[in-house]
Amino acid sequence: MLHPSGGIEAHPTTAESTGSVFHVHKVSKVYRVGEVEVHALREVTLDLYQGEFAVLLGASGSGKSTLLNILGGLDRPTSGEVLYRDHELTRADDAQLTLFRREHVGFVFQFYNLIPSLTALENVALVTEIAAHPLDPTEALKLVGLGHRRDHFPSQMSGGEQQRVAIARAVAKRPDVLLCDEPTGALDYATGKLVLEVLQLVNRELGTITAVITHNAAIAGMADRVIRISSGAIVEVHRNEVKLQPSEFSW
Amino acid sequence: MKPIGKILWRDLWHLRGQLTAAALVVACGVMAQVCMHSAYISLKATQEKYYDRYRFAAVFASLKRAPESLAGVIGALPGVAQVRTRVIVDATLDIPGLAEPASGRLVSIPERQVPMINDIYLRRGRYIEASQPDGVLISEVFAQANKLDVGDKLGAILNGRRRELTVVGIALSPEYIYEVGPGMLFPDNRRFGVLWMGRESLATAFNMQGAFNDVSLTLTPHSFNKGAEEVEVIAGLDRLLSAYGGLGAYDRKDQLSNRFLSDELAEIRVSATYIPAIFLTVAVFLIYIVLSRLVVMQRTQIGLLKAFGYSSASVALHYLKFSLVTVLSGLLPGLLLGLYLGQLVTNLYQEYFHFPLLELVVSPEVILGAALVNLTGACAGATAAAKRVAAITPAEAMRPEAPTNFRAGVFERSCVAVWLPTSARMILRNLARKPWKALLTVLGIGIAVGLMMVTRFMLDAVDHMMTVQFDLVQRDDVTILFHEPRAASAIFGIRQLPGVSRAEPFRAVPVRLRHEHRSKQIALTGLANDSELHQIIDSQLRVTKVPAEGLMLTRKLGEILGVTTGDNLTLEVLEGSRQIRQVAVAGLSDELIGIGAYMDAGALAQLLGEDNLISGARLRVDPAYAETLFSRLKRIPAVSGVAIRSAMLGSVKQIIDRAFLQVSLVEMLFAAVIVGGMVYNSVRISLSERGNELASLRVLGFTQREIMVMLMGEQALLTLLAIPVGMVMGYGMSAALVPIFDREMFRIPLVFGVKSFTYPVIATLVAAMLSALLVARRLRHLDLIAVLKTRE
Ligand SMILES: Nc1ncnc2c1ncn2[C@@H]1O[C@H](COP(=O)(O)OP(=O)(O)OP(=O)(O)O)[C@@H](O)[C@H]1O
Ligand SMILES: [Mg+2]
Repeated sequence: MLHPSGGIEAHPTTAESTGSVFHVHKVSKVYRVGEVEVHALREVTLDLYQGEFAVLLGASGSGKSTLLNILGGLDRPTSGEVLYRDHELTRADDAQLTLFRREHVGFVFQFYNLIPSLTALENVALVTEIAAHPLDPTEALKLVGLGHRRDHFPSQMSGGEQQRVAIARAVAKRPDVLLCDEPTGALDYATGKLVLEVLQLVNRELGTITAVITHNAAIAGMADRVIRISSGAIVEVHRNEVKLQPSEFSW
Repeated sequence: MKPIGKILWRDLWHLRGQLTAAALVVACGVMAQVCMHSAYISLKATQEKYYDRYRFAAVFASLKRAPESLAGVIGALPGVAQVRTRVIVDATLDIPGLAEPASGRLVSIPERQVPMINDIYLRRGRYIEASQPDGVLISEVFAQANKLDVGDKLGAILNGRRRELTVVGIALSPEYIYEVGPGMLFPDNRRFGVLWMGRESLATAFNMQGAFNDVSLTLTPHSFNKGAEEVEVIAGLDRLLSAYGGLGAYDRKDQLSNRFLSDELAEIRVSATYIPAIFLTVAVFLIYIVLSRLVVMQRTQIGLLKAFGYSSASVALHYLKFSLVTVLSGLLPGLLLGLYLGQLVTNLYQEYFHFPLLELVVSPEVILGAALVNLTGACAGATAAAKRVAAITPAEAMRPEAPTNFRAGVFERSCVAVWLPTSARMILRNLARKPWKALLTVLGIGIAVGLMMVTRFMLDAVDHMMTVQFDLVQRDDVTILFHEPRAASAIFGIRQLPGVSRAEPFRAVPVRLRHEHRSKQIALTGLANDSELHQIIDSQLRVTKVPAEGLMLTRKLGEILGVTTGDNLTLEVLEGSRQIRQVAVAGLSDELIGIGAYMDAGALAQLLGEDNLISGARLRVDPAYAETLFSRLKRIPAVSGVAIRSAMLGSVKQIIDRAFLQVSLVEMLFAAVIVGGMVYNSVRISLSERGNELASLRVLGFTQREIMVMLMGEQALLTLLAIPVGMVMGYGMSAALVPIFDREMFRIPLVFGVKSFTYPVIATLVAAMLSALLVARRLRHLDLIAVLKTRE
């Protein structure tokens, strides 16, 4: 299922019954490498709403990861303003950003980034130990269908299994927002679908705002909203009237 | 530059911190090696040259009095080359500006300067002249310590008469390179000095005209069985001198100054070997772990180079160059600093060992030796790492390294592990994954802890030795010695002296103790049963009494003679009617300084067949009257020597503060470099291995401090583990040193003060923390975003 990309300056101003959780206002990010300036983001304005599942689409180098990293408090914009509820992330210092990530954000990456010296369960427990209202780590593993692999080390699991552990780790602390950067990028078709199902399940069951970056336009079908980025700017925001299950689409 | 050369320089720059740490350890090792070897060679060469040029005697003997004609008979003994007879007496001196009486050893010299055995080197002034009988040469240190110079005068009691002596020259002699008074361990140059006086005037003053009381010999060169010949000469000399009150001939190894110098030389030689060896081992280990890690990180690069057609050998050589650059950069400053430090050490030696000229010998062998040893060591470390290079095939290198396999260890399965927080498990598993590296790290840091402990131990041991000696054994404030044994009633006069609250007489007789083929000359001391100011102790430091019958020997003397309690000895009195008796050893005592033989005062008097003569007295003195007492003592003709406790302790403290503390400070610093180098490298490598992991943790919301704990925890655990291990090593090394210092002069006990433990622990923790902090700075600059883009 493909969405035609239009050249419209899109502002997601639709009034939602639920409030805006993230408010991104005129955010720009400029990298300076020697004499050259790279505009990774150009005055991006965007809101993310309670419980929504958003997919970010765009060509390589279009600025998706940059935006996601700024949302997750890993990076700071060159200009503009980012609000998470009443926290002004753009004003926060390093310690405050760390606390923000710790309390509110779950990350899932392309390369899983599990701790090799810890078992699946311990990788999850590592995060629940520092969280305020976590899930039981075993429950979190069951959620991703890996309850029986709890005592396996990363080196003893497949890529897809590792990615599901990473998701369990990300959701176990009951984050308010789950940020996933190409979670299926390193996985084969079937495993990719499995991982997407888990993400959707988490979004539905826990009501976590979920933002997923992908190169794969087919995945957009499972989103509430599809945000298309090109050359550092949002070029289209599309609302799906019907959300599809991962089993219902293919690529 | 060839591309591979560029890679070298770029990687060197990248690893500069770790390689600098290794280079520092190399530098310390080279420094220690060059410094100590150079000092050793300088001291040794100077000693040999000095002995040779100034004809240091081979055999020495003192006697009561013999006619000069005996010299010819001695010279005729087979093996004897030259003979020099002298008059040597000890006298009380009155030095201007010094409250206490000083002791002087007056040594006769010919009125006209001629080359002779135990010759003197004239530093300043002129030689004595027959026309000026009161002119003397004085030893350089004594002059310096008392600020005496040519033309100055000093008082001396010569055979009961006070004389004014005039300093005409300042001199040195190979006989007094280490200038200590009789029975002293450490020099006290203010209160003891050597004076050279014309034979005529000295003989006249002591009624020794045409006679001598000291003889020294050189032996004929090229004798092919030197040891045996020396024994013959000594025996012959003893036979000749026995009729003249001979006190027993001895060779160089029993000559006091030579003995101290030889002991010192033996000691530097030991430390010059083992200290650099420790540093070298640590440096090789550091180079090995840095290079191994580099090879692992650069597998892909190595594979590429090989794929491009570089041979295994040329790639391995590339890694060898790392270690060569590291060692060379430690070697050069190490050599220079070593020579500089060697100069300082030589200067320090000059304060205790007095040569006309002691210069640092810059020996090419020492420098080349240090360079060679360290380069070889570095190559060994690098070769081990380079072997891994050879094992990498181009294809294999293209694949990422297999994911690290972790496994729950034995410890994990135990019930304790359940309670451990996850971060603690990470630490334990990372340790368990590389047990060898962990073990070597523990050993490396441990050895540094041990080194610090040994250093402290030496100070503590000397401290203990002094405490035992001066609190338990020698408890008198002042010891006085008479020229000649006097009647027991002399003690009453002594008790009348100002400030004297207790005075205990003692008898000391020169004797030779024989057991089988072993023998030893020594002063046998007669102690009263109620002696308080001189006590005898056992190995538990309990005060014991001299048995009513038989001899009591210090344990060391027992060892020298090969006897123990219950054995019989032949005792030859070397004075008076020279009785020869069989005596039983009734007990052993455990003093730490010197060797001694004791007998009950009554039993000794009986043995000698005299009624209670006394050789001197030990006094307890009220400090308020000390000055008055000293000025009286300076004028008592019967007194030949005065030893003062406070002065002795003062000079010992000064020596310890100046020499020992400086040396131990440098050694502590060196050991801290090892700790720092080990910890820094270890943490840096962990950081490079686990940087991605830590960055991921930061992304997950862990704070700087939390990931620092995870990174450092491993190292902290190893460091903490290394401390007890190091203490065990330190104990072992200290115990190994004890026999080296088990000497006649003194013995260091295996005793540790609290500081032996606290100082190494504090220094280790501080060094570890500082170097860990150097790495911790890097945690602030972890790139959280880059880690998400790269695959492990
Ligand atoms: N650290 C950096 N220094 C310089 N330029 C950077 C840096 N990080 C990102 N960029 C640039 O910013 C732009 C956006 O990068 P970003 O990683 O957000 O792209 P992306 O949309 O995630 O691409 P991809 O789909 O390939 O992951 C790119 O042109 C990239 O080259
Ligand atoms: Mg990206």
